[in-house]
Amino acid sequence: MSLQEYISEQFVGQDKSKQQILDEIYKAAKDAWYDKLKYIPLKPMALITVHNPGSSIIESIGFSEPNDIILNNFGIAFAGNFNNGAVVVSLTDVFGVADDYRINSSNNIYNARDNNPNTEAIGTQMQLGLGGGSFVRSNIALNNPFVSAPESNRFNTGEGGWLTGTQQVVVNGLLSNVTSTDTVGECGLFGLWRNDSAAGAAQNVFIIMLSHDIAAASFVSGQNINTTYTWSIT
Amino acid sequence: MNDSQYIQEEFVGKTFTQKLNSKMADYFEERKFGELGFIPRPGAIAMVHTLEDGAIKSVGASAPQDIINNNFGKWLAAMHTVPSTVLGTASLSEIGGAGGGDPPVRTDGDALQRPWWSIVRGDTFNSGSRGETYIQIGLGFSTPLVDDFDIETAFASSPEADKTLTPDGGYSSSIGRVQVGVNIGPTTGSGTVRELGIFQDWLTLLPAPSGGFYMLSHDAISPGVAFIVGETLFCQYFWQL
Repeated sequence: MSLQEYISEQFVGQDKSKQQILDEIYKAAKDAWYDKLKYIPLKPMALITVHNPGSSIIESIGFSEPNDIILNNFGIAFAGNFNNGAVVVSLTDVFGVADDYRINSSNNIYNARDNNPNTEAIGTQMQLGLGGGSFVRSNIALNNPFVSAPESNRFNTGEGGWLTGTQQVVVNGLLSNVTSTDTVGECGLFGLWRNDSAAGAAQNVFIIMLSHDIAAASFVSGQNINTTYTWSIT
Repeated sequence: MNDSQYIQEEFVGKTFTQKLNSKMADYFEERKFGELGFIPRPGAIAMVHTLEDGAIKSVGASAPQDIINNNFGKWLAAMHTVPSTVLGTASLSEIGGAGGGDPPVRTDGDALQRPWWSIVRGDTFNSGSRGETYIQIGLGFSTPLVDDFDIETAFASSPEADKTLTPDGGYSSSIGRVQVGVNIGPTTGSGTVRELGIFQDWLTLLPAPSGGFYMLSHDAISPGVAFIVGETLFCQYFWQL
């Protein structure tokens, strides 16, 4: 039985919260039901649930493949946070444009959400797609985004939360009222990060894909798709 | 063969070279897929080597089942946010006062401005003068807890008593690993390293501009790494992505 088969059998038709689902999946992992899952590295795992409007019953569900990998963009930015002074690293946005990510810089700003007036929103987004193609650390965008909106769009996440008890970072995103019928095959987590080349310069927001995951869940027109990324650091 | 026997056999007597560094990486890679299920959290390793020939005399490492600190989780969580132009904050627990002195407990936390991805200039969080990474060793025996915010028992003499500024961290795309390490020494005292911590020295604007050390991971080192006067300790953290 694959992981996808297992979670579909366990959760489709159930009225369970995302946290209940995550607790059960990770418990199964810790019980060594699914060997690879206990070796999850530091990366977010994607949980996708599909619901009818106004209902919390799970119509379809998918979870990241245990051996999915996190992207170079995240590793480069994460490493840059461990430093002994000003650091500039290069990340690549969804259009293939390499941009300087400035850490600990007294001269330039990256992702400044500070006391200065900001005209561009920064934060995190998600996107779903058909999947297929290669999943490698150098990916910078989804392989096959959906065609019809809103499922073709990136959508905003909520605020991330840290759950001390389970040692998990959890963040949710909701895609409402899809207009096509299809199956999710991939999802991505993105940072909307701003780079000012100098004080007072034009603000540029770059969309940086941080994680690219394989997860399957079918949907029909009019349904809602919940996506939850979880970093389990237990 | 248990972890302690493995690292003793693999490292003691070897020369401290880039090759050895690679060997350490191999060790962690093996452990990731080994029976202990290493990760997802940083692995820590400490070793004593002599400056004369670089030979490793003693080595210890964190246990795969060690835990991560709440500070790290809050920091990581703060990366995820509703896109907005509004200032965001997160609350972490700082070590007790400037330089780690009294009071030993400060659990209220500072309101940090998006402690990860809002890398901002001037007088705000993580400015050019405050943003570095430090590693500290200690001799505490207690099991680290998720709400730890400092080394349990620091050594008495410097530099082994200090939080030591690290070089820049590195990322290997081929193996998906982030690592940061530093040499501490030559030592002026003797003792046995039994704990290791990694800290960020961050500046926060709120409620008033102040700097402070924030512990991200606290690890028990086993076996203890014994050192005497004049030796150098190499300490490194690994994050497998």
